[in-house]
Amino acid sequence: MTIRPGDARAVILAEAVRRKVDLLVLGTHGRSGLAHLLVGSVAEAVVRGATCDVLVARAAPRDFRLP
Amino acid sequence: MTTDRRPLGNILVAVDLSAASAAVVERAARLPVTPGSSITLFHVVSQEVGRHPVLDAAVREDAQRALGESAEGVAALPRNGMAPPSPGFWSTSVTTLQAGT
Repeated sequence: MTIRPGDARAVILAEAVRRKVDLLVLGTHGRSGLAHLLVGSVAEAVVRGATCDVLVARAAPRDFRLP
Repeated sequence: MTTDRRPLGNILVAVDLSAASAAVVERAARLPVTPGSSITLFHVVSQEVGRHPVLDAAVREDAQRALGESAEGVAALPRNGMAPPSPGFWSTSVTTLQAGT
């Protein structure tokens, strides 16, 4: 997965490094399938790119609905 | 197998201010932390909003207020026997996404 400059995911990762955090916490909406492909996953990218521990909290039940 | 039991120091909680963010902040608030540790609630404002200075300022202000209220809300949660957080435990930060950042 490529994280481009100007991407919120890159900003979160950079902020974690700048603050020298021990743990990064974020939520995931638990989207899968087409919804995941369309929306992407901040959590997934952060887990892949982080240099610190990451806690991914299930933010809510799978209530995502495509329009 | 060894277990790393270093105490948690600085914790960064990234939230999108959706309705589900409250659960994430509450989860972070229940983490066992040590004296001197801190939790920062962090929100990234979209690049589109950042292109309009007036809108950006308003959104950032709203986001700061929402993060502050969120921190106040969870600060009163039961700590399950853990010591209450020290002053300055909670902080908030809002960053606007810039092109090329």
